[in-house]
This record gives sequence, structure tokens and C-alpha cells, in this order.
Amino acid sequence: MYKTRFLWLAIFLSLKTMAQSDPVTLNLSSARFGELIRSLENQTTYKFYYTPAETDSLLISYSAGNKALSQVLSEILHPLNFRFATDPRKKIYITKEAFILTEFRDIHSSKYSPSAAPDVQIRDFLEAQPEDISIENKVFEIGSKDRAVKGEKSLSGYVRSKNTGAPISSATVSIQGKASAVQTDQYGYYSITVQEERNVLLVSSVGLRDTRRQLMMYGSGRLDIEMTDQVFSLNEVVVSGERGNQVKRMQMGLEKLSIKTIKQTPAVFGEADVISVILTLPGVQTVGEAANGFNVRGGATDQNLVLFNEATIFNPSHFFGLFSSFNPDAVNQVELYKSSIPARFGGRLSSVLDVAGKEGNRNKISGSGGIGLLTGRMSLDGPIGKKTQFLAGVRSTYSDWLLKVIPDDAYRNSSASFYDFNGQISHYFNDKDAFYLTGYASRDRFTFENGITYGYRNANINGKYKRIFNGNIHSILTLGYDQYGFNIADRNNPLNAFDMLYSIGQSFLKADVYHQLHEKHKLNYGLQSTLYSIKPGQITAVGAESLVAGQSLENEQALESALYISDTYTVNDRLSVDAGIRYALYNYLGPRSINYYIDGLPKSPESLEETVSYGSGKNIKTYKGPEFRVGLRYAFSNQSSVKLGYNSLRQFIHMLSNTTAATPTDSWKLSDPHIKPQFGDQVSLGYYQNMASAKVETSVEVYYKRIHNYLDYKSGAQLLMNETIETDVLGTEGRAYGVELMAKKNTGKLNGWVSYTLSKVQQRTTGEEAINNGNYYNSNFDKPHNMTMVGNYKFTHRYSLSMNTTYSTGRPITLPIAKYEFAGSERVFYSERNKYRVPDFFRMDLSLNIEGNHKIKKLAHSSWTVGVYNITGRKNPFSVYYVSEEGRIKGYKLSVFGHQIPFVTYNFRF
Amino acid sequence: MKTVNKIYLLLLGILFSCEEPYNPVYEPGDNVPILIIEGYIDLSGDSRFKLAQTVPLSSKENITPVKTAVLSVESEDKQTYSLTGSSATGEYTIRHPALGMSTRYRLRVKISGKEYLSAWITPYASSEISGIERERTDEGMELFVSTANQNENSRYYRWEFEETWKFSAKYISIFIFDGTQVRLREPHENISMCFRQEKSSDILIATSEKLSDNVISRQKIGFIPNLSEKLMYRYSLLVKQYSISKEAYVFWSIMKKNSESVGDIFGSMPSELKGNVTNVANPAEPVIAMIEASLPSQKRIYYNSQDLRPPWPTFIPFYLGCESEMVTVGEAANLFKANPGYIPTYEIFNNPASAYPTHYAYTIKMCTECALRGSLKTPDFWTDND
Repeated sequence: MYKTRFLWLAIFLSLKTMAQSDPVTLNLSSARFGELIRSLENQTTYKFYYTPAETDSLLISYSAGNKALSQVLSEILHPLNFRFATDPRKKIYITKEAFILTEFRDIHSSKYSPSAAPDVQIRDFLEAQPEDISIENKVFEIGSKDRAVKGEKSLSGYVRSKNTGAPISSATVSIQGKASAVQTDQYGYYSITVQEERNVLLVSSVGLRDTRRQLMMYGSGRLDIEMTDQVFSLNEVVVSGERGNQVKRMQMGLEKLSIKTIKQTPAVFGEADVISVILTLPGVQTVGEAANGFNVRGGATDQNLVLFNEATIFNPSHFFGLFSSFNPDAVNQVELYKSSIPARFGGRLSSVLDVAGKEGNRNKISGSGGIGLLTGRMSLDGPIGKKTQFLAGVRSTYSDWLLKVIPDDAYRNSSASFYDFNGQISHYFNDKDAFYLTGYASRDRFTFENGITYGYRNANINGKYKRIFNGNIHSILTLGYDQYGFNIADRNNPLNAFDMLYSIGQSFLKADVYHQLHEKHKLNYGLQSTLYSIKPGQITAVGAESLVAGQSLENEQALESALYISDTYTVNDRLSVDAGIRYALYNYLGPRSINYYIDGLPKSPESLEETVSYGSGKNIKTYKGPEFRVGLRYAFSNQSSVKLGYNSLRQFIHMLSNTTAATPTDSWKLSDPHIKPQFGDQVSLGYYQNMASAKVETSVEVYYKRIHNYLDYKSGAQLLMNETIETDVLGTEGRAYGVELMAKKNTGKLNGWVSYTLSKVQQRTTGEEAINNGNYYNSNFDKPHNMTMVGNYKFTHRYSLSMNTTYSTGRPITLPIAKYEFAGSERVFYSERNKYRVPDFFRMDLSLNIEGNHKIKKLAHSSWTVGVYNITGRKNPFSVYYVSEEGRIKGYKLSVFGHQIPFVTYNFRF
Repeated sequence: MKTVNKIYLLLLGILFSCEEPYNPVYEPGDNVPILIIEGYIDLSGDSRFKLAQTVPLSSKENITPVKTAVLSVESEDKQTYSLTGSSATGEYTIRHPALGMSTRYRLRVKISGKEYLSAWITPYASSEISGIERERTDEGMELFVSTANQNENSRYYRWEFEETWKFSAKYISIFIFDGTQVRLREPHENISMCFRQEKSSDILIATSEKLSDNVISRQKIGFIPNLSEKLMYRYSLLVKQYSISKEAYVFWSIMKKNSESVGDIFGSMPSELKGNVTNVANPAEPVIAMIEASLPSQKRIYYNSQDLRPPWPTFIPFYLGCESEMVTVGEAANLFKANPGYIPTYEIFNNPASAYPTHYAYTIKMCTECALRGSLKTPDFWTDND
């Protein structure tokens, strides 16, 4: 009770202090109440609220000189049985009888009669600085009142973090009362059109406090918005703001993940991993744990366009898929497009994984890092001068200790390592022009006891120039170079010692324009051009003894160009249409010699008709065609919508791989006169419903997809160092269909998602050699049932528990069905391709995130992640294999992570 | 990619992976037997073929022999050599003279109303084996073959080998109990020195396709682990080399790949084994056969264990637990008469003053009769002189 009183007293005292600082002078004689208020409002910054009906009849006589406002109010109002309440927004509420209380009390107690009630100060429920609050209430006048424009006007600007100045991408910007919303782009830029003059602009983003701006729009203009981090205090009610973005968003099949979500999902070895979180989304599959790559809606691993700050990452894995290429400290957000792929993306059939890097802190140098069992990482970012920021991150492994402690030479003499580096510099010339320079490099290397070394590397660099012409048009020009390569060095036998090299490079130019043509038409158009250059393989003998014949395959080059335009047409608040077309043109270019084969005969050395040599730059073969991207959204209400989409895509580059999982020595091949480009199209339909005040988003999506000219291989095909690969490949066509259900909760102590996918993926050969007699067979990654649950529960602000649970049908497998003796040994005969399945997959991971204390002004913030991967210890078969051992055949199933794997990671930031 | 698999498993495997036996349930339709034809058209004359059918994986048998069949070797120049026969083991020999290299051949097989026919086969003659080498490693003895092909007809090779070695039981019996007395054995009464033979069970193939010359240098074909009895006294290796077509090379390499490491996630998908024999009426029916027309070359070498440095110790687990007992010369006859299972092995001189043996060592049959594990008969080709 004492405590309550003390608090109450404190409030009261603070009111005194505050009001005393506002001295007023009054000289009223039988004045109307309104006159008193006008006089007070003129002398102070306070605004008064009262009921005219109660005060109409009052006549006030009062005079005072330089007296505190509160005292003046008390002296005038108390005799009239009025009370007043003040809030931090400098508003004063004057009430009679119905007085404002700041705490619960026994209303039956006579002690608190209206006449005895005190004047109070209202505390704001938001722990915000007064200046923020005033920003929210301040009316921003855009344009000139004298030259007010009737009808459509546009507003654009950047949304940034107040603390770091970093741009906030994917923030939702909307006008109160309108069903449509826009999202900020990767640079935090937004552009929205309005009709009316008076608007309330709502801005929300996960993890940040929702904010609003009062607008008086006389014309088009610009408004930058700063958002503050959501700092929760104990026992506070969390105010839920504008959620349910997926209902309003035009795109379907788009999954967005913030780095926060990624970091709180448990991953093997405790390293926050983009791709392992991607795998928990509906419609995304993998052939096995820690297998390179992922499959989206029945697409192959090479059909995903993986972009990291616009750079194409050809191999997004380290360590055979244990880790993905992205340093979690350098990532801001991840978007996966799996059905509606915007027209500005092209070149891959299945999906676009767009990983946006973090931009440097604009206010101060800051850094973050982490130390895990196998890896360590460190990144640093901050301003260089007023207009420039940088970010640099590096990550490396020190896993060799693991190999060295194994008491077996085979392990001790092996080594495995990787590193990656990323850097970004962003420079803002002024309000309108910005330049970004981004670089990425990674390298993996494995040396074996037998003297064979495998290595692969990614190297990417690009520069982006962004210009805002006016509120309605902005453009981005990107120029860059991406490279991927691998090498094999065999020193096992001096007679066979060799080095083998492979590399692919692409230079690209992209010009993208975002054009708000009209309130209802939002255009995006541009052109893109990519020049590929592949060195398909070079073998050189090493050492004088080596008998290996040097061989160098002819380089391949091609130019892929595309023009695109798309229009997001908002018919009305409920209906919007997104129609896009992309025209792709592909030229396979010389210098190169091409074998032509006799028509109608299988391509083989025997059917070779002639070899034609083409000169440098000569166009050997052209493929071209349009791609359509159409989407339709109809909102039943603010809380539910339906979307329909059709997409077609072309892919001119193929990954040569005949293993179940992708391997680092899978090479890329360009479409040529014999190998046709892949073509795929997809139709999808989705229904979205928000529930519980948009705290829970639910969705159902169904899709049907066709894939043409996906490569399979003849039996015994050799994929590396093959001069006539066209004689060893088979074209296949595939079909995939399925339904994806998802429920997601973004806010509250418990957040996360549950998803279920029912799907089918099949393919059949269309070429000469018929697998399964040319009938459809299940693809390697066909897993009909897939259920995932990802959840995070915050006990307190320092402790949170994360869980990740996955169930899926086992992947298809070709099993031996009969045995026989041949050439002195027992052998097996295999079933039809992928007729059987490995046992079902189930795994549950748990991790506990422990944050350091929450003092904002600490030198460094640290956190620990402790967890267990595969907590049930289920032995999920990664693969099943049969081995002929001394004339006998034995079947084994192998689990990669067949035990509980504990991990601990220490993370810090400053 | 196999090495990649290994390191992959190595990296993950060391700490976390585990293997368990796997026995899946099969669909009944996958249990229809498939015809297997093993053998080649031997250009030097008389071709041998083995006909059999596959059995389910769970079967105790390795194969089901095809017991009656009609076989014929046909040439493109209209020569036909046929055989109508029956064989309990499924082995058939078609008698024919030496065949020329200038035409192509094919095999026709009729089994209980079904007719199978091979594609036309181009004959290949193998080059000479230029050398067989050995190399001692920490684990044992590695064996290599080399060849240099002067005629450029094929760059694909397959080898088979047959090992023959002399070994002895744990105790060598030089004495015999002839029913009345213990006496020295005559050479033809030997029971402790035997020969054993084994055929290669791995698929041994190589190609010189990627090399500048059509040369195979030190291709590893065999391995004798340390302590093996193969190098106890004398060892002989007969290597048979076939020049094969590219198609046959693919067949053998797929069979090798499919048997050795498949299903592994970084292993390749099991490939369809496409032979060159089809059912005339139903080409979709699988047949496991790669018929070739060949003139193989062969080479035999011998190794004596006394030439090996360091010496080659042997250990035969079969004889684990074998012990030797002693009996005085006087009591020997009674002992061996009462216990026909005891075999005298050697004599013991326990009295330094006497020039005569005092005891005989003896053991049970299993520890001195090598015929339980080999053959007492010296193979026809065997020679003890290098």
C-alpha cells in the first residue's frame, strides 16, 4: 500500500514540477470558458480537451500574473467541481464528475468521491521519448497549400532504423483505411500514392515498433521515416500493429525471413544457417540432411537462383552442405520466391532465393561475431564520413582439430577447411543518388589421406547505382561479375598425377526501373544482360612420371539478355492484378567447334556427321521466347484474400550431376545446339486468412508445375572432361503438384510456424534411352508428406527456447531386387528407378538462447546458444546401400546425424 | 566421386554417423527371375557359357542354373555351331574350330520356348601382358598388371585371374601308422601339403582412353593381405587379359559400380545394366549378359615365399586351437590302433645319448590333413622350378 501511495505521490509531484514550469498570466472577467482555454493555449504549448456541454454556461472571473498553469487550473476548476488530467503529449483533459484515474481502487470507498479526486498526470503506455510521440502526432504538410493538387499524389522516401541508420527492407507502408500496402525495397525505399489530402501513413516491420505519420498531402513529395527497435519492458502489454502482410501483399508463394528468425532456429553445430531455415518452409525439400542444395516445389537444385546482394552464388554450401554460404552476421533478410516470381528475375525455373545483406551502421562503428564448435565469424560495420558506410565480415572453420584427434592415419592426414568473406560499401551522394559496392568470396578445400585434394570457390563483385528521379520513378543500375570454380588435384600415384580445373564466370548488367505511373499502376521494367564464359575442364599432367594426357575442353560462351515489364494494377482496394512479361534471348557464341550428328540416329561417335568450327563471337545457336508472370489478388476483407498466379520461365544453364545429392564437382553447362534450354511453367492458387487480430497468418496454396528439357544421363555417362556431353545426356520432362498449408504467428511470447505440404514430383525420359521404359517415375526429391514446426518461446527477455521439428516421407530410392552370381561374385539387380523409399524422416532440435543483460549502454552484448540437434536421436537413414564384401551382399542404412548432437555457440555484438 | 563420399562420411561419420543393417520389404512383382548368360565366344575354339537365373535376395542359393538349353554361335558369314544339351550346373560348351577376326558373331539361346539373341559382336584380340609386378605395403602385397597395345583396336581392357598356392596344415605329418607300426610316409602318402585355387571375384577393368598412348601401366588387380597362407610356400598367378569394346566396358563398369557402392547419397544412381542380349519376342525383358568375341592373352607368374624380404609370416585361423601331443615310441602303436583319429606327425629325440627317437608327436586329423581345405593333387601346370 505504501508503495502504491508513493508511486501516486511521485506522479502527482511530477505534475506539479512540470506544470510549474509553464507560467501563465490571466485577467478574465465573466469570460466564457472557451476564452479561458484560448488564452491558456496561446500562452503554453498545451492543448485542452473538454466537453462544451459541460462548460458552455460557465462564466469565469480570475486574474493572476505569472502563476503556474497547474495552480491556475486548480484554482479555477476545483471550485466548479472540475478536475484535469495532463498527459506527456501535452494534452490536458478537463472533466466534471467523470474523473480520470491512473490506478485501480475501491470505487465503493467514500474516500474517493469525485470532489475529493486529485488532478492526475497520465502516463503514456508506450515507453517512448516525447519527441517520437510528437512526430507521430505532428502533421506533416507535403507540397504547397497554395498549389494544392487535386487527386493523385505520391509520397516516397526511406525507412531507416533510428538506432543504426540502416535501411529497413520489407517494411510495410500503408495508408490507414486502405487495403493495399507497399513494401520497402532492399534499400528501405518506398513509394506510395494517395488520393485524399489528409492521410495517416502506417509503417510496420517485424521486430520494430509500428509508427505512423499524420500527413496533409497538398502535392507529391518525400518523407523519410525512422523506426525504433521494439524494446519490451517487463510485464508490458505488447501492442500489436499492422500484421498480416501476406493478405495485403500482391505476391504469392513469397516467404520472407528476417535474420532474427533465422538466428533463433536451431541448426546443426549451432551456426545460424539461412538454407536450413529455408528447408523448414512449405514446398522446400532436400534429399537428405546436410546435402548440398534444396528443391523448391519439385524443382531440381540447379533451378534455384541464389542471389546474395545481386550476386549469383553458384554453390551456396560449405562443407558439403553442413553450412550455407551466408555469414549470418552479414545477412539482413531472406526472401524465397517459389511461385510468383517477379518479372525482374529470370534464368532459373524453380525459385529465387534473394538474400539481402546488411548495410553498415550509419551512426557508429559496430561489430558482431560468434564462436562455435567448428566455425568462428566476425564482422565490423560503421560509417566512413557522413555519407558512407561499410560492412565487412569473415568466417572460417577450424575443423581440422576434429580430424587430428581421430586416432587413425586416414583421418589425421586429411584436412578440410573453408572461409568466406563479404564486404559492402554504401555511399549516399545526396537524397537521390546512392552507390553500393558489394563483394563476396568463399573457398572450400578438402585434402585426403590418399593425396587427392578437392576445392571449390565462389567469387562475386558488383556495383549498384541507385537514382531517385522523383517520387514516382527510381532506377537501379547494377554491373557485376560472378565466378565459381572447382579443382581436383590427384597426387596418389605419380603415374596418374594430375590437376583438373573447372570454372564458370558471368558478367552481368541490369537496369531496373520502378515507376509509379499512376495511383493504380505501378510499373517495373528493365533490361538485363549476362555474358557467360565457361572453362569446362582442363587436365594437366603433374610431374615428369605422369602418363596423364593433358586435355583441355573448348571454352563455352553465351549471352543471355532479357527485357521485362510488369504492371501492378490496383483496380480497387479489393482487386489488384500484376501482369508481367519477360522476353529472353539467348545466343550461344563462338569460338567453338560443334559436332553435328545424322538426323534420326542416336547421337554417338558413330553417328557423327560433321564438326563445324565457329569463329570468335559468331552466333552458333539462338533460343528465345517470352515468359509470362501473371498474378491476381482479391481481398475479401482486410483479413482475407485469394491469389491466383501463372508463371513461365526459361533456364539456359544446366548443372551436370548424376548423383542423388549435388556435389562440389557438379559442373554447369550452357545450352547449345543439342542441349535445349529448360522451360517450366506453374499455375498456383492461394487463400490467405489472418486470425486473432492478425496475430496468426494462415495460408493454403495449391500448384501444378511442368518442367521440360531437364537433363538426365545415359547409363555410364561421364560428366567431367567429356568433349561430347551431348551424346551422354537425355532430356526429361517433369511434373510437380501439391498443396501447402501454413499457419504462422509473428508476435507474442510464442512465435513460429507450422507447415504441411502434400506434393508429388515425377519425371520421365523423352530421349533415346528410356528409363523405366519411358514412363513417369518419382524424382529423387519426391517426398509426398512434409510437416514442419518451428517455434520460439520467450520465457523472459533473456531466455528463449527454440524448437524445430520436421517430418517427411522418405526419399525415393532404387533398391536391389534380385541377386545372382556373375564374374566370380554375387551381384544384385535393381528395381525400376526410384520405386522404393527410405524410411520416413523425423527430427527435433532444441536450443536455448541466453542473452546477456539488457543494459543498452553496455560495451558489448553477448549471447549464448546451447542446444541439441536431433534430440530424439532418431537414426534417419541418409542413404541405403549394398556392398559386395568378399562375395556376399549386405544392405546397410546410414544415418549421418544418428545421435543427439549437442552444440554451443557464443555470439557477441558491440 | 567415391573419394568425395569417403571424406564426406569421414567428416560427418567420425562423430555422428551410424550404420545399421537394412532389410526392406519388396513388392511381389519384383521377384520374377531374370536370365543371366556368362561367357564369351572364344575365337581360339570351343566357347563356354553358363546359363542361370537370378534368385531373390533372401534366397540361400546364388543362382538357379538353367538345366536345358539350345545354344548356337553364328557368324555374319553364315557359319553356325550349335549345341542342344542339358547340364545340371548350367554350363555348356559349344564345340567349334578357331574363328577368324574378319567377321562378326552372335549368340542365340533357346530356353523353354523363349528365344534370346545377342547383337552382332566385333571380335577383339588382346595384346600381350607385358608384366605382372608386386609391391609390398604395410597391409600386404599388391599385384599389378601392365600392357602395351601396339595394335590400336581397343583402349578398353578387362582382366580375370586365377591364383594357385601351396600350403600346409598346421602340423606336417611325415609319419604314418600303417595299422601295425609307425613308419615314414612315402611321397604319394602326403596328407599335409596341399594346393588351393581361387578365381578373381572383382570386376577388373581399365581404359587407356585418357592417356596419350594405348598403355596400361601398373593397373592394380589383386591384393594379398598380410599373414595370408597364399604366400606360405609358393604362389602362382594366372592373369587373363581381354580387349573389350567400349559397350562392354560400360557394361562391366556399371556392374562394378552397382555392386560396389550405390545408394550412397553422393554415389551415383544405380544405372540400368544394358547388356547385348534380348528376348526376340519381348525386347523389354531384362537379360543380364554381355557376350563378346575374344582372343584373350594370358601370363602366369610364380612367387616363392623364401624370396620375400622381409619374410612373410602366415597365420591360418582354421587351425586355431590345434595342439600337438607326445607318445613314447613304445606305446605309439597301441595309441594309434585305439585312436584312429590321431595322426603321428614327427619324431622327437629326448635322449641325447641315443640316436633313435624316443617319442612321436601326434595330433588330430583336422590339424594335419590339409585336404579339408585344399587339394592334395598338384595342378597340371604347376612347376616348382622358376
